Amino acid sequence: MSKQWSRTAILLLALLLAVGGAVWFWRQYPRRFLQAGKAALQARRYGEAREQFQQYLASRPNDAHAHLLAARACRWLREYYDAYEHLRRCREAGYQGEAVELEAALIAVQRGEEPTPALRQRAEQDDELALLALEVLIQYDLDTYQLHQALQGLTRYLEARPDDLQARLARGFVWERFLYFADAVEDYRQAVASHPNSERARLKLGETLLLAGTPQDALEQFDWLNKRYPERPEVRLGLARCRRRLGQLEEAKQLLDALANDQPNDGEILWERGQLELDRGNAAAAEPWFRKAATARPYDRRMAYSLSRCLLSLGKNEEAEKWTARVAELDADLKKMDQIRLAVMKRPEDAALRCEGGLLLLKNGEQQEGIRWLKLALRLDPTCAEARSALDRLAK
Amino acid sequence: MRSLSFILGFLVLLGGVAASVYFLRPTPPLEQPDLGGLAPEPLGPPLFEDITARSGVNFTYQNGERTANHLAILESLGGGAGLIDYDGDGLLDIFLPGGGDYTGPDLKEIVGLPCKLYRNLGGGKFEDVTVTVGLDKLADGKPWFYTHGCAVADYDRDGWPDLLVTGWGRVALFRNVAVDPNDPKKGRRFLDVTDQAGLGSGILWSTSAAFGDLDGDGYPDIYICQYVDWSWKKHPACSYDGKIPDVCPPKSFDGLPHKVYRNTGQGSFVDVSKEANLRSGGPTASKGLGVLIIDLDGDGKPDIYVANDTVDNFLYLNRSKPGEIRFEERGQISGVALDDRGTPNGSMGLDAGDPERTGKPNLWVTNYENELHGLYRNDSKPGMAFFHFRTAAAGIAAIGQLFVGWGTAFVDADLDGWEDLVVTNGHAIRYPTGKNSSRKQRPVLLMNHQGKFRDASPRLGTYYDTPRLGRGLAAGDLDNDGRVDLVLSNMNEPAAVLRGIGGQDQHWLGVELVGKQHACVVGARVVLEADGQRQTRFAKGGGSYCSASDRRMNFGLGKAQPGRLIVHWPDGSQQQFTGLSPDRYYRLVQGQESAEPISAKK
Repeated sequence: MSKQWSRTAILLLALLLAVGGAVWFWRQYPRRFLQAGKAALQARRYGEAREQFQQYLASRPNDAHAHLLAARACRWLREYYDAYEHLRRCREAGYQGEAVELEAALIAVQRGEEPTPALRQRAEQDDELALLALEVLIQYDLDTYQLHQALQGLTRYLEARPDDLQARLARGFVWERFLYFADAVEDYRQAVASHPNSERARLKLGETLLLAGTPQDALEQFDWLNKRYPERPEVRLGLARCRRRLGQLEEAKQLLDALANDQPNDGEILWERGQLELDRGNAAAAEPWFRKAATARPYDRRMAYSLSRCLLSLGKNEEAEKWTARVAELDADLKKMDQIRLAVMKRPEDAALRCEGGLLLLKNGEQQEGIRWLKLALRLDPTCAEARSALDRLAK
Repeated sequence: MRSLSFILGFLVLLGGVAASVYFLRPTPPLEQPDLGGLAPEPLGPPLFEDITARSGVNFTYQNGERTANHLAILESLGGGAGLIDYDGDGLLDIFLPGGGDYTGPDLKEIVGLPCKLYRNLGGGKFEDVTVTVGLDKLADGKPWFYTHGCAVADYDRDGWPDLLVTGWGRVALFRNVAVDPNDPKKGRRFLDVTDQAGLGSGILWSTSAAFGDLDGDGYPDIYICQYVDWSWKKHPACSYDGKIPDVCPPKSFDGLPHKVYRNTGQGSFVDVSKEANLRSGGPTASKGLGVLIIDLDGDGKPDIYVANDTVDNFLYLNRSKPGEIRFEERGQISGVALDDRGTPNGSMGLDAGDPERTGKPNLWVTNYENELHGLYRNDSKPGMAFFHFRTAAAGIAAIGQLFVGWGTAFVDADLDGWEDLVVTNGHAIRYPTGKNSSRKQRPVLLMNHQGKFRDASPRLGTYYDTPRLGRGLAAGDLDNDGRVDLVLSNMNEPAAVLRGIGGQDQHWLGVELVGKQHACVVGARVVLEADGQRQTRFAKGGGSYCSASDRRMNFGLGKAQPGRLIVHWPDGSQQQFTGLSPDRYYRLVQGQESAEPISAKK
């Protein structure tokens, strides 16, 4: 009897354990998605984050916090409808408070609304929500060419998260825009130190060292990249540039010949190849390279300048003069654009300035940047006819 | 037992799979082989010895920042150094501009500090003779102005070198005169003749200056660089990181027009800048820091190359006639206004040499950080000045773009017959951004290996060990041993004297050109044949940065003996000299058949 009782007790206990285990599993299993989503969000893999949150929310549809996180992921993916929907569900689930309101404000800014002074002030506090706000404000400032403001934001952000690769690279980019290459090199160096396997960081460091360091230091980065990404044209071009700067002309030639074969319409490669011929003292051989480079990049004054010099040295003075005139034309536009950029930093609300800049960028082949400027002009002044007609023309 | 065997078997299988995965993993690519090219310069013995401490030269150029923190662009230029054998004893003496300071209730009164002249006593010793020679004050006992540079030439053709000093608001011309015309033993002194010479007005901010006979009358004319239109009324606040105030860049100011003065031959100069077709100043033009006068197109007439800061460099081709100075500016078209990307650089120092032994003067320009220094190979054809940017091809780009380069010179430091390059560096702004960018920088020595340069900076000796705020550099043979020595002027730090000690077992030949009746020889060209090789040197005016170097020419010979020496005088005449012995200086006087050996003091 007692044996039967004990068997029954063991069975019941096993059953209880099984049920408990099932309940625990049912409760815990979706959390894996939540955790994975959080990790992906942290790592700025927004698509993956959104997927993970959706999986989690499929079994936990009323988890307000998960909706808030999903809204963040959708915001960064520029899926604003979904972002708002998640925020709505978040509020419905009873989650109220600053984080939700802040998220709504951030969505608005990402959609192009001017950040409110309150939001800027909030971003100056010392907590996680402030960093969230700062991220969006930095992006806004970069998009609207408020580089001083972006720089300040990035510096604050990096004080809190010194190992953030994205922020480190972004600040390097801003330094480059200001032509402060030494600072850019420093940020890229730190990016490589904290993320030694980041090819983006290595590439930026290598490229900037070629502008503001030594070719030997740049070569170290390009060698690392070449071992892992030997087919990437930018890596091969960087290597060739290092070799040329080091006076290793034959090695540079081998690299550039192979590159030009694979990328016959890449203006940068063609220009470098032409320069190499000039280094070798062969202007006649440089000419076809510069011609191709100027065709590939018709708005690049460097290409036009080198072609005009090359033609002059070959005694083709008449054609050289045409290219010299082209350089002067491009110079005038560049000078004007510089003035506009400086003015925009002082008068960010000036729609006419944005429009003028956008049109000038379009004229010089920078279509994406031009469109962005024109759209900004329209946002600042919806009646801006020139911007509207230019965008209409492009759409057609 | 069976289950134990099963588990063991499973573990063995798992191990096998793991081992396979490990051994069959993709093999990482082999190390990229070194592709060769220019090998690094092998370490060799020092080529220079810092003798400052025992030389008796103890002088510091001051820029005023110790007194007031104005962060004025005036403070960024520093000063040069000049070599002048003022007393004709065959030993080069050293002139050092003193700079200036601030005074007055708001510390905005700009005052000069005395310059110094150190007489060369021989044996590497110098004595301060500033007061004795009358250089402690200007005419009528007036104090010095805020000085930057100097230039040396015999402007009155009396056989004695005179001195021009540049700086803020004016220049000063000093005539080298006898202390007692009746007693040459009493030595020489300087007389401030600025006003009498017609140079007392018209200058706002002069930097480098150069002498050269531009109109072919034998008398050296003057080119004076002017920098930018800065004053306390035009003194904006600037910052490079948005927080820390700093010295404004030259882009914040309009460039000042440069000046060219014609030597009348009567002891005075006339401003002919306008008639000479000099470019005007403005926001994007003419921010001059360096000037070099040399015949670049081989027509015998000295041309002018000007280093401008952040804007196009000028190349003035000489189209003058006797008594009439005319130029045609051809910087852009000839390819020396911009770098190889077509961009103007922040250019400071200049020199010309023949590093590839083409027989034509190549131009060399030191530039700002993030820019390559420019080596322009002279590929001019008759009637067309044309240059190719050769920095990368010559291996010079290998030093990178880390330096703010100022004073510079071609010197054959190891007497191998190939001209090397030396550059003194130091930042222009007070607080350079970026951790790797410091205000004080080390100098650079580039050794020439048959036209290809390699960085050999540590061979500058102990002077290389300490970064400094380098500015001026004058090159010359202070001890007449055939090895060129260097005098370096630093900002707010003592000037330095480096003795050339390279090429101890090599031969050399030194040449001093003397024009007919002391006519200016700038524009002359000297070709030395030795051992089947030809070396060419050029008679130059100006060069480096705010400095005046030795105008004698030195040829390193290696193990060879000197062969024929051919002088192409600026008037088109030619002379040949043979039978020259190595390891000594010769005076070559225009029209005299034989070369005069000079028994040089050491």
